[in-house]
Amino acid sequence: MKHCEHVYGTKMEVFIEKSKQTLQHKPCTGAQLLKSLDINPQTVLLVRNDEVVLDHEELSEDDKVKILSVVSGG
Amino acid sequence: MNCMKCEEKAIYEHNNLKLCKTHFLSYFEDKVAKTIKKFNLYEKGDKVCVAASGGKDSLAVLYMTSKYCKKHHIDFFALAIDEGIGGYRDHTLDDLRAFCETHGIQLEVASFHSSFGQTLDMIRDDAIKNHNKKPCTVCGVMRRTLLNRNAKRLGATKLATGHNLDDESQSFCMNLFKGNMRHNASLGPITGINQHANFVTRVKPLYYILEKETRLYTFLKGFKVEFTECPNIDLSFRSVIRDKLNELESQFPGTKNGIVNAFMDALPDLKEKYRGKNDYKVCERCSDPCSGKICNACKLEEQLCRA
Repeated sequence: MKHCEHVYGTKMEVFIEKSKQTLQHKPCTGAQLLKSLDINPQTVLLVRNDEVVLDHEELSEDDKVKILSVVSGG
Repeated sequence: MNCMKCEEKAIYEHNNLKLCKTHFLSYFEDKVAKTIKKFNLYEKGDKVCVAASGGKDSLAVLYMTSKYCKKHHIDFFALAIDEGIGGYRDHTLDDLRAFCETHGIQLEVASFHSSFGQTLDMIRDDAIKNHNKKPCTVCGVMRRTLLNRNAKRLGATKLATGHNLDDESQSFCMNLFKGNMRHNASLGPITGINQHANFVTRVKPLYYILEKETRLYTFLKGFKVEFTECPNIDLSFRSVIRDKLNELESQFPGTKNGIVNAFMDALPDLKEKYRGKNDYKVCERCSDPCSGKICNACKLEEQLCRA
């Protein structure tokens, strides 16, 4: 499996809601992105350009990706 | 990947289920409505109080309650408890107020400060250092007390909460790992029926809904839900169980459903075994239902709020 890395200087922008972090990431699938960030897919929604996408979908350059946290509350 | 019911693109996939936006929304709403009907959570003549915090679960249960109750001509309102957790509850309450205004829902707010004279932030450190109490324990007891007390005061016959499949599977496992099966006999989609005159029956319309499904529903409906996590959550046993169950669900989809279905299968036997052992008495100080002479909220109030 091709592993992707979060590298500064590439075009895919990823916002992580839980940590309120924005980072640049090489294009890859949603599942690869979550794996590289060590995020359990059960705990998040993957949103590409304001549309929910499934984990297996490809995320490309110029995409704005959000990783929304499912777990909240106390 | 397409929706299993039409040619649209699937946006939700879990355990052989593949649904597009339209069919996911129908699936969610049908599942909640079926739970309400199957367990008679809301009936004609009820006055439903929805425990609301402004988080995704409470907005979803409030919206679904509003939809169901308006259709079936059942009275309902929302009740929020302000524990006084800075940077957390104040934000979710703002979202809740806006939501209730948009949807024309009556909102009542009760607070720790007005009821106990202290906020959770004010008693948190003392609870941990001097009384060996985790903030979640203190918060849970006081919050439940205020919900019941105020629901009763406002004439509610049912108290609806946003507890979902994740919450229930976590609670079951927590009680199991602590060897406390008696407490599991008090779980289920409807609890507290005829338990005590001062106890408002609790109902959980999202009982069979995964937490992820609720987050997806609120996102697709455009409800404003910002990520806010209670700053005290990492101190709780629940957070450990939550993470473990999410790992299991990821490896073995359907785990949480399996836990709750197995629990529901065993619930009649558990209720029979512990019949009478979970009965409530009346607190000598506040008249709320409790298992001993003094309720836990009054004990905590004396320990933490009157020092």
